[in-house]
Amino acid sequence: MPLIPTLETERLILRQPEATDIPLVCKYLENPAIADVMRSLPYPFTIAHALDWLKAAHERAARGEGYVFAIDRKPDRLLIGSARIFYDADNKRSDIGYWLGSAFWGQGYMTEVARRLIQLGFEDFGVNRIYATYFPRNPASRRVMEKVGMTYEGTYRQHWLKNGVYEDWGMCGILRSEYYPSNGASHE
Amino acid sequence: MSDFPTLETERLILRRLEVSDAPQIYAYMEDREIAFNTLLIPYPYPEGGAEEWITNTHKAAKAGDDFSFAVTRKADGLFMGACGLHRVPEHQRAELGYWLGKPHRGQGYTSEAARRVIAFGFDVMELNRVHAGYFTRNPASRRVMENAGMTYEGTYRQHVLKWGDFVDMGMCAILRSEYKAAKA
Repeated sequence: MPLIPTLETERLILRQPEATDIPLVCKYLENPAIADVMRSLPYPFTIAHALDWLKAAHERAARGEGYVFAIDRKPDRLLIGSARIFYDADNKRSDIGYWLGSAFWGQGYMTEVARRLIQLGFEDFGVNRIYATYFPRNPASRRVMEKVGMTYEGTYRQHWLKNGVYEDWGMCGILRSEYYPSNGASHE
Repeated sequence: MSDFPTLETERLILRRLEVSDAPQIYAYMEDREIAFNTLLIPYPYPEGGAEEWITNTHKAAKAGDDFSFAVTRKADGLFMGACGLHRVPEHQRAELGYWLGKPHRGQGYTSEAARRVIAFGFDVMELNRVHAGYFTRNPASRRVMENAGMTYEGTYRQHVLKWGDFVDMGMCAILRSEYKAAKA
Protein backbone atom coordinates (compact mmCIF):
# COMPACT_ATOMS: atom_id res chain seq x y z
CA MET A 1 0.00 0.00 0.00
CA PRO A 2 1.84 3.13 -1.09
CA LEU A 3 2.20 5.95 1.40
CA ILE A 4 1.37 8.55 -1.22
CA PRO A 5 -2.00 8.25 -2.99
CA THR A 6 -2.59 8.23 -6.73
CA LEU A 7 -4.63 11.10 -8.12
CA GLU A 8 -5.99 11.69 -11.57
CA THR A 9 -6.74 14.66 -13.78
CA GLU A 10 -8.05 14.76 -17.33
CA ARG A 11 -4.61 14.16 -18.86
CA LEU A 12 -2.32 13.29 -15.94
CA ILE A 13 -1.66 10.86 -13.12
CA LEU A 14 -0.08 12.09 -9.86
CA ARG A 15 1.49 9.21 -7.96
CA GLN A 16 4.15 8.21 -5.47
CA PRO A 17 7.65 8.85 -6.82
CA GLU A 18 9.90 5.77 -7.13
CA ALA A 19 13.60 5.07 -7.65
CA THR A 20 12.84 4.23 -11.28
CA ASP A 21 11.88 7.89 -11.78
CA ILE A 22 15.36 9.09 -10.92
CA PRO A 23 16.97 9.00 -14.38
CA LEU A 24 14.21 11.08 -15.99
CA VAL A 25 13.99 13.49 -13.05
CA CYS A 26 17.72 14.13 -13.26
CA LYS A 27 17.53 14.48 -17.04
CA TYR A 28 14.72 17.06 -16.90
CA LEU A 29 16.47 19.00 -14.18
CA GLU A 30 19.59 19.34 -16.28
CA ASN A 31 17.80 22.35 -17.72
CA PRO A 32 18.87 25.18 -15.39
CA ALA A 33 15.73 27.14 -16.22
CA ILE A 34 13.74 24.94 -13.84
CA ALA A 35 15.92 25.30 -10.73
CA ASP A 36 16.35 28.97 -11.57
CA VAL A 37 12.76 29.75 -10.61
CA MET A 38 12.46 27.34 -7.70
CA ARG A 39 13.36 28.19 -4.13
CA SER A 40 15.54 25.29 -3.18
CA LEU A 41 15.88 22.81 -6.00
CA PRO A 42 19.58 22.00 -6.14
CA TYR A 43 21.44 22.52 -9.38
CA PRO A 44 23.02 20.40 -10.72
CA PHE A 45 20.50 17.83 -9.49
CA THR A 46 22.46 14.68 -8.91
CA ILE A 47 21.42 11.10 -8.21
CA ALA A 48 22.31 11.75 -4.56
CA HIS A 49 19.88 14.69 -4.57
CA ALA A 50 17.26 12.48 -6.18
CA LEU A 51 17.66 9.81 -3.51
CA ASP A 52 17.32 12.47 -0.79
CA TRP A 53 14.24 13.76 -2.59
CA LEU A 54 12.63 10.31 -2.54
CA LYS A 55 13.53 9.77 1.10
CA ALA A 56 12.19 13.19 2.10
CA ALA A 57 8.95 12.51 0.22
CA HIS A 58 8.48 9.23 2.05
CA GLU A 59 9.29 10.72 5.46
CA ARG A 60 7.00 13.69 4.93
CA ALA A 61 4.08 11.47 3.98
CA ALA A 62 4.81 9.20 6.96
CA ARG A 63 4.64 12.26 9.27
CA GLY A 64 1.32 13.30 7.76
CA GLU A 65 2.80 16.58 6.55
CA GLY A 66 1.93 16.31 2.88
CA TYR A 67 2.73 14.59 -0.37
CA VAL A 68 5.32 14.81 -3.11
CA PHE A 69 4.08 13.37 -6.40
CA ALA A 70 5.57 12.18 -9.64
CA ILE A 71 3.48 13.36 -12.60
CA ASP A 72 2.82 10.97 -15.49
CA ARG A 73 1.26 11.83 -18.82
CA LYS A 74 -1.68 9.50 -19.30
CA PRO A 75 -1.40 7.92 -22.75
CA ASP A 76 2.15 6.59 -22.35
CA ARG A 77 2.68 7.06 -18.59
CA LEU A 78 5.73 9.14 -19.32
CA LEU A 79 7.01 11.00 -16.26
CA ILE A 80 6.87 14.71 -17.00
CA GLY A 81 7.55 16.40 -13.66
CA SER A 82 6.77 16.62 -9.98
CA ALA A 83 4.29 18.34 -7.69
CA ARG A 84 3.92 18.71 -3.95
CA ILE A 85 1.43 19.76 -1.35
CA PHE A 86 2.54 20.36 2.25
CA TYR A 87 0.14 20.23 5.18
CA ASP A 88 0.36 22.38 8.30
CA ALA A 89 -2.10 20.88 10.79
CA ASP A 90 -1.66 23.65 13.37
CA ASN A 91 -2.81 26.34 10.98
CA LYS A 92 -4.98 24.17 8.74
CA ARG A 93 -3.17 25.37 5.67
CA SER A 94 -1.30 23.89 2.75
CA ASP A 95 1.17 25.18 0.24
CA ILE A 96 1.75 23.80 -3.22
CA GLY A 97 4.59 23.65 -5.70
CA TYR A 98 5.35 21.97 -9.01
CA TRP A 99 7.82 21.75 -11.87
CA LEU A 100 7.71 20.15 -15.30
CA GLY A 101 10.33 19.16 -17.84
CA SER A 102 10.64 21.99 -20.34
CA ALA A 103 9.32 19.86 -23.22
CA PHE A 104 5.97 19.83 -21.43
CA TRP A 105 5.56 23.54 -20.84
CA GLY A 106 2.91 25.58 -22.59
CA GLN A 107 0.26 22.86 -22.63
CA GLY A 108 -1.70 23.77 -19.53
CA TYR A 109 -0.28 20.90 -17.49
CA MET A 110 0.87 23.12 -14.61
CA THR A 111 -2.59 24.59 -14.29
CA GLU A 112 -4.14 21.12 -14.36
CA VAL A 113 -1.76 19.96 -11.62
CA ALA A 114 -2.30 23.02 -9.45
CA ARG A 115 -6.06 22.65 -9.72
CA ARG A 116 -5.87 19.00 -8.63
CA LEU A 117 -3.64 19.85 -5.67
CA ILE A 118 -6.06 22.53 -4.53
CA GLN A 119 -8.91 20.05 -4.76
CA LEU A 120 -6.92 17.58 -2.66
CA GLY A 121 -6.09 20.21 -0.08
CA PHE A 122 -9.63 21.42 0.48
CA GLU A 123 -11.55 18.19 -0.08
CA ASP A 124 -9.18 15.65 1.47
CA PHE A 125 -6.96 17.55 3.90
CA GLY A 126 -9.82 19.86 4.82
CA VAL A 127 -7.57 22.89 5.05
CA ASN A 128 -8.83 26.45 5.35
CA ARG A 129 -6.16 28.01 3.13
CA ILE A 130 -3.85 27.01 0.30
CA TYR A 131 -1.01 29.24 -0.85
CA ALA A 132 1.92 29.21 -3.20
CA THR A 133 5.00 31.31 -3.63
CA TYR A 134 6.95 32.40 -6.69
CA PHE A 135 9.72 34.73 -7.77
CA PRO A 136 8.13 37.84 -9.33
CA ARG A 137 10.66 37.65 -12.16
CA ASN A 138 8.79 34.48 -13.14
CA PRO A 139 5.33 35.94 -13.80
CA ALA A 140 4.18 32.77 -15.58
CA SER A 141 4.04 31.12 -12.17
CA ARG A 142 1.72 33.79 -10.82
CA ARG A 143 -0.52 33.40 -13.89
CA VAL A 144 -0.94 29.68 -13.14
CA MET A 145 -1.90 30.50 -9.55
CA GLU A 146 -4.44 33.09 -10.61
CA LYS A 147 -5.88 30.73 -13.23
CA VAL A 148 -6.66 28.22 -10.49
CA GLY A 149 -8.44 30.78 -8.37
CA MET A 150 -5.69 32.15 -6.19
CA THR A 151 -5.40 35.82 -5.31
CA TYR A 152 -2.16 37.76 -5.20
CA GLU A 153 -1.49 38.77 -1.59
CA GLY A 154 1.86 40.51 -1.48
CA THR A 155 5.58 40.37 -2.07
CA TYR A 156 8.33 39.87 0.48
CA ARG A 157 11.15 41.94 -0.96
CA GLN A 158 14.61 40.37 -1.11
CA HIS A 159 13.40 37.63 1.18
CA TRP A 160 15.33 34.78 -0.38
CA LEU A 161 19.06 34.62 -1.07
CA LYS A 162 19.64 32.33 -4.03
CA ASN A 163 22.98 31.93 -5.74
CA GLY A 164 24.18 35.21 -4.30
CA VAL A 165 21.13 37.18 -5.44
CA TYR A 166 18.36 38.45 -3.16
CA GLU A 167 15.08 37.38 -4.70
CA ASP A 168 11.65 38.83 -4.04
CA TRP A 169 9.09 36.33 -2.93
CA GLY A 170 5.52 36.69 -4.17
CA MET A 171 2.57 34.97 -2.53
CA CYS A 172 -0.84 33.94 -3.77
CA GLY A 173 -3.53 32.25 -1.74
CA ILE A 174 -7.01 30.78 -1.92
CA LEU A 175 -9.39 30.35 0.99
CA ARG A 176 -11.85 27.59 1.75
CA SER A 177 -14.62 30.16 1.64
CA GLU A 178 -13.61 30.91 -1.95
CA TYR A 179 -13.38 27.25 -2.97
CA TYR A 180 -16.76 26.52 -1.39
CA PRO A 181 -18.60 29.79 -1.83
CA SER A 182 -21.78 29.89 0.22
CA ASN A 183 -24.93 29.42 -1.81
CA GLY A 184 -27.23 32.22 -0.82
CA ALA A 185 -28.24 35.01 -3.04
CA SER A 186 -28.31 37.79 -0.52
CA HIS A 187 -25.29 39.62 0.83
CA GLU A 188 -24.94 41.48 4.09
CA MET B 1 27.88 38.80 30.74
CA SER B 2 29.82 41.40 28.76
CA ASP B 3 29.27 39.95 25.32
CA PHE B 4 25.58 40.81 25.03
CA PRO B 5 25.20 44.26 23.50
CA THR B 6 23.58 47.15 25.30
CA LEU B 7 21.85 49.69 23.09
CA GLU B 8 20.71 53.18 23.91
CA THR B 9 18.04 55.49 22.56
CA GLU B 10 16.79 58.91 23.70
CA ARG B 11 14.59 57.43 26.43
CA LEU B 12 15.52 53.74 26.60
CA ILE B 13 18.26 51.30 27.48
CA LEU B 14 18.00 47.98 25.64
CA ARG B 15 20.00 45.32 27.46
CA ARG B 16 20.17 41.59 28.07
CA LEU B 17 17.17 40.12 29.87
CA GLU B 18 17.96 39.09 33.45
CA VAL B 19 16.24 36.77 35.89
CA SER B 20 15.46 39.83 38.00
CA ASP B 21 13.09 40.92 35.21
CA ALA B 22 10.94 37.84 35.82
CA PRO B 23 8.47 39.35 38.34
CA GLN B 24 7.70 42.21 35.96
CA ILE B 25 7.28 39.77 33.08
CA TYR B 26 4.72 37.75 35.02
CA ALA B 27 2.87 40.93 35.93
CA TYR B 28 2.74 42.20 32.35
CA MET B 29 1.76 38.80 30.99
CA GLU B 30 -1.45 38.85 33.00
CA ASP B 31 -2.70 41.06 30.19
CA ARG B 32 -4.15 38.53 27.73
CA GLU B 33 -3.74 40.99 24.88
CA ILE B 34 0.00 40.32 24.58
CA ALA B 35 -0.44 36.61 23.90
CA PHE B 36 -3.56 37.32 21.83
CA ASN B 37 -1.64 39.43 19.34
CA THR B 38 1.57 37.43 19.10
CA LEU B 39 2.33 34.00 17.73
CA LEU B 40 4.12 32.07 20.45
CA ILE B 41 3.50 33.62 23.86
CA PRO B 42 1.27 31.36 25.95
CA TYR B 43 -1.73 32.45 28.00
CA PRO B 44 -2.07 31.96 30.90
CA TYR B 45 1.65 32.58 31.20
CA PRO B 46 3.10 29.49 32.88
CA GLU B 47 4.90 29.42 36.20
CA GLY B 48 8.64 29.29 35.56
CA GLY B 49 8.03 30.47 32.00
CA ALA B 50 9.81 33.79 32.46
CA GLU B 51 12.96 32.27 33.91
CA GLU B 52 13.00 29.64 31.18
CA TRP B 53 12.54 32.23 28.45
CA ILE B 54 15.23 34.51 29.89
CA THR B 55 17.73 31.66 30.05
CA ASN B 56 16.86 30.68 26.48
CA THR B 57 17.53 34.21 25.26
CA HIS B 58 21.03 34.02 26.74
CA LYS B 59 21.72 30.73 24.99
CA ALA B 60 20.25 31.99 21.73
CA ALA B 61 22.38 35.12 21.77
CA LYS B 62 25.51 33.07 22.35
CA ALA B 63 24.60 30.95 19.34
CA GLY B 64 24.60 34.19 17.39
CA ASP B 65 21.30 34.43 15.53
CA ASP B 66 18.83 35.55 18.15
CA PHE B 67 18.95 38.75 20.20
CA SER B 68 16.14 39.55 22.63
CA PHE B 69 16.51 42.86 24.40
CA ALA B 70 14.88 44.01 27.60
CA VAL B 71 13.28 47.38 26.92
CA THR B 72 13.96 49.57 29.97
CA ARG B 73 13.28 53.19 30.78
CA LYS B 74 16.49 55.16 30.94
CA ALA B 75 15.35 57.46 33.72
CA ASP B 76 14.74 54.77 36.31
CA GLY B 77 15.69 51.45 34.72
CA LEU B 78 12.09 50.22 34.78
CA PHE B 79 11.63 47.05 32.74
CA MET B 80 8.78 47.65 30.28
CA GLY B 81 8.91 44.86 27.71
CA ALA B 82 11.06 43.17 25.10
CA CYS B 83 12.21 43.64 21.53
CA GLY B 84 14.32 41.27 19.49
CA LEU B 85 15.62 39.95 16.22
CA HIS B 86 15.68 36.34 15.06
CA ARG B 87 18.01 35.82 12.12
CA VAL B 88 17.83 33.29 9.30
CA PRO B 89 21.48 33.39 8.25
CA GLU B 90 21.00 31.64 4.89
CA HIS B 91 19.01 34.62 3.70
CA GLN B 92 20.64 37.38 5.74
CA ARG B 93 17.28 38.41 7.04
CA ALA B 94 15.78 38.62 10.52
CA GLU B 95 12.32 38.83 11.97
CA LEU B 96 11.62 41.59 14.45
CA GLY B 97 9.36 40.96 17.43
CA TYR B 98 8.29 43.04 20.42
CA TRP B 99 5.83 43.41 23.25
CA LEU B 100 5.35 46.08 25.85
CA GLY B 101 3.53 45.94 29.17
CA LYS B 102 0.12 47.61 29.04
CA PRO B 103 0.89 50.66 31.21
CA HIS B 104 3.72 51.69 28.89
CA ARG B 105 1.95 51.67 25.55
CA GLY B 106 0.92 54.74 23.64
CA GLN B 107 4.12 56.67 24.37
CA GLY B 108 6.18 55.68 21.35
CA TYR B 109 8.50 53.38 23.28
CA THR B 110 7.91 50.38 21.03
CA SER B 111 8.75 52.29 17.86
CA GLU B 112 11.81 53.77 19.54
CA ALA B 113 13.02 50.33 20.61
CA ALA B 114 12.21 48.84 17.20
CA ARG B 115 14.15 51.57 15.40
CA ARG B 116 17.21 50.98 17.57
CA VAL B 117 17.07 47.20 17.22
CA ILE B 118 16.66 47.50 13.45
CA ALA B 119 19.77 49.70 13.38
CA PHE B 120 21.61 47.02 15.34
CA GLY B 121 20.42 44.46 12.81
CA PHE B 122 21.84 46.37 9.87
CA ASP B 123 24.93 47.90 11.49
CA VAL B 124 26.13 44.99 13.61
CA MET B 125 24.40 41.85 12.32
CA GLU B 126 24.89 43.09 8.74
CA LEU B 127 21.48 41.95 7.68
CA ASN B 128 19.99 42.63 4.26
CA ARG B 129 16.35 42.63 5.42
CA VAL B 130 14.35 43.00 8.62
CA HIS B 131 10.72 41.99 8.50
CA ALA B 132 7.91 41.80 11.00
CA GLY B 133 4.49 40.18 10.97
CA TYR B 134 1.34 41.35 12.68
CA PHE B 135 -2.27 40.28 12.89
CA THR B 136 -4.30 42.75 10.88
CA ARG B 137 -6.82 42.95 13.74
CA ASN B 138 -3.97 44.69 15.63
CA PRO B 139 -3.28 47.75 13.44
CA ALA B 140 -1.26 49.43 16.19
CA SER B 141 1.50 46.94 15.48
CA ARG B 142 1.61 47.96 11.84
CA ARG B 143 1.93 51.58 12.94
CA VAL B 144 4.94 50.65 15.11
CA MET B 145 6.56 49.00 12.11
CA GLU B 146 5.91 51.94 9.81
CA ASN B 147 7.16 54.37 12.44
CA ALA B 148 10.31 52.30 12.57
CA GLY B 149 10.84 52.80 8.83
CA MET B 150 9.25 49.63 7.51
CA THR B 151 7.06 49.31 4.43
CA TYR B 152 3.89 47.26 4.22
CA GLU B 153 4.33 44.33 1.81
CA GLY B 154 1.14 42.34 1.86
CA THR B 155 -1.33 40.27 3.84
CA TYR B 156 -1.48 36.50 4.00
CA ARG B 157 -5.19 35.94 4.44
CA GLN B 158 -6.30 33.62 7.26
CA HIS B 159 -2.73 32.38 7.43
CA VAL B 160 -2.67 31.65 11.15
CA LEU B 161 -5.11 29.66 13.28
CA LYS B 162 -4.88 31.57 16.54
CA TRP B 163 -6.97 30.36 19.46
CA GLY B 164 -9.71 29.06 17.20
CA ASP B 165 -9.83 31.97 14.75
CA PHE B 166 -8.21 32.23 11.34
CA VAL B 167 -6.40 35.55 11.34
CA ASP B 168 -4.90 37.58 8.54
CA MET B 169 -1.20 38.18 8.87
CA GLY B 170 0.27 41.36 7.48
CA MET B 171 3.94 41.83 6.76
CA CYS B 172 6.18 44.86 6.82
CA ALA B 173 9.88 45.05 6.10
CA ILE B 174 12.84 47.33 5.68
CA LEU B 175 15.75 46.61 3.38
CA ARG B 176 19.39 47.41 3.95
CA SER B 177 19.32 49.75 0.95
CA GLU B 178 16.43 51.70 2.51
CA TYR B 179 18.10 51.84 5.91
CA LYS B 180 21.31 53.16 4.39
CA ALA B 181 19.48 55.72 2.29
CA ALA B 182 17.55 56.97 5.31
CA LYS B 183 20.76 57.33 7.31
CA ALA B 184 22.56 59.25 4.56
